[in-house]
Amino acid sequence: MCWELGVGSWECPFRRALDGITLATHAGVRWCVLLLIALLCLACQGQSAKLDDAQQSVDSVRATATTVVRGWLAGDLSDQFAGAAIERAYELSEQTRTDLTASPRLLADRRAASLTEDCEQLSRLLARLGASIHRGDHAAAQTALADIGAHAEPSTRATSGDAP
Amino acid sequence: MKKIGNVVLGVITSIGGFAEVGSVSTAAQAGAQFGLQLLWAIAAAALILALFSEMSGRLSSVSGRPFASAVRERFGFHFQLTLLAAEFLTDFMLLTAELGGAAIALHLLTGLDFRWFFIPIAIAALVVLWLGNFSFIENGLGLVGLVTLVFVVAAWELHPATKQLAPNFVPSMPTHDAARYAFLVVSIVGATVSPYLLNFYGSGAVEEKWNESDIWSNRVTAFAGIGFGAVVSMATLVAAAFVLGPRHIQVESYEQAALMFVPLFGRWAVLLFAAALGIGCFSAAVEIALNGGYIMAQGFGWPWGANKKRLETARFSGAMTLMLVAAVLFAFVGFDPLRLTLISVGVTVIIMPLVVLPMLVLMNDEDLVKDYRSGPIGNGILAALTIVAALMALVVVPLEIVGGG
Repeated sequence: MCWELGVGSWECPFRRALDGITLATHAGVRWCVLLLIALLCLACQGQSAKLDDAQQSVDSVRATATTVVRGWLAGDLSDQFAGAAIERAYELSEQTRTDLTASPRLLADRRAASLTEDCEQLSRLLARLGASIHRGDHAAAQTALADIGAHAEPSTRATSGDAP
Repeated sequence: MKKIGNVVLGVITSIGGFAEVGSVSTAAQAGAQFGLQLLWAIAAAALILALFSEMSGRLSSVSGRPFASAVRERFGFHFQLTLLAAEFLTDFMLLTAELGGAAIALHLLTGLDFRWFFIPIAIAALVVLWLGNFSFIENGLGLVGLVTLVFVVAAWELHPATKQLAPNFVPSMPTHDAARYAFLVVSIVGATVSPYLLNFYGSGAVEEKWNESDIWSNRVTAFAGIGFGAVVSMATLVAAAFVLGPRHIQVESYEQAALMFVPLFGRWAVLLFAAALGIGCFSAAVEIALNGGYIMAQGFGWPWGANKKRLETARFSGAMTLMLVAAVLFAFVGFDPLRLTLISVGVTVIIMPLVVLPMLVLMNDEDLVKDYRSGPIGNGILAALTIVAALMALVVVPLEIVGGG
């Protein structure tokens, strides 16, 4: 049986090329469509999973900023790299905030609202950090770093490397 | 003796050419998020690539034709056109991603917007493509690419214990984020088993005039070169797992990926990461553009060859130049390089069945491979891979939506 796809007399190039090897029967196509639908259903992931992703992203941005500023203060990272990395972290934080506020249904969730506030606060701190790095002001960067640590969730405060 | 030297050179340059934007980013993401758990995916992908490369090299050595030419002869122009379009699209997206990776490397060093670097990188690539012969492009860039061994040094310095590494070479279920885990498995396979590598490898065999006496050196180069090359990807995953994972840093940007070197190399960290990423991506960009010329010329029956004068192969040279220029123009549209990398890897997975299925037929065609046809084991593996490739092609888009981040 040829996979006609309902396009007039168009013949699947596979069929011609492979000399009669049947690639997909109608039953096979039906199974594929069912599988695709099942997978697309999965795509409609739950609100909770979205919030978990957002939480992970916020934690990641916070940890990134901490690592970058510590590296910069220790003289391991250049002004250019530290500035660019903090700017990128700011963009990621804002992206997470935009994603959270994109849907009113999501924003109505108390956890989402709290995360949105976290993002906003984090973005403000990142902006302060970026400005401190730009000015080469170590003291101001250290203060901003302490503020980021103070706002961190307990789970992300320990940043020393444990083995995976 | 000369052949042994060529094999050693082939293996070394394979190692140097393994790391590029897709393999670095997917391995770093996997390590940061799932620790060492996805080492098996890199090992499996490398094994698949080695199998395909060996077959592509064997096909070229025996028949004197690269994969694209053989597909055209065996299946006809119409089928070839489908494959050509699919491969050209994938190569084009990968090329843009590699240019983005090289530009990001310079951005990490200078802090300037990465888009400033597209044109200088493209000019440098064009100079290499127009002035270099195949040996220079393959071996020269491969040797410079050995800088990517810095990932192996980093992993070595982290002293992972064998008992930590070994269990992760067996597939296991994720403890969290199953969709993301599945997405990363498919992405790692897509990033490693790029169709361009197969045709590039086979075209290289023709350029270097391999014949039936090179079957064994082809086998050693494919398996040892890719095997050792995969160690670079695994080392990237290990470094990310040990440095980024415990700090809860996910890899959503290349700035975050670069941090994996900071505790190890201090003030050299960013320079080493940028050098490894930049050189790896630049080499891959040159190879992909060259392969663009190969597939167009072989698909349409034009004269081709990196060892020939460029004006003698004007359409081949024009095709690779146009592909590079078009990729630069596309890059200027504005995109997130990491995101584009993951999308191009997804597209690679989608077209994979189009490549695997013809390979199965070609490797059993007595007119092409004579007595060097695949045995029952080779055919069984290829048939299984055809099914796996088709399933991955089916799930990659939903997975990109659910687990792509």
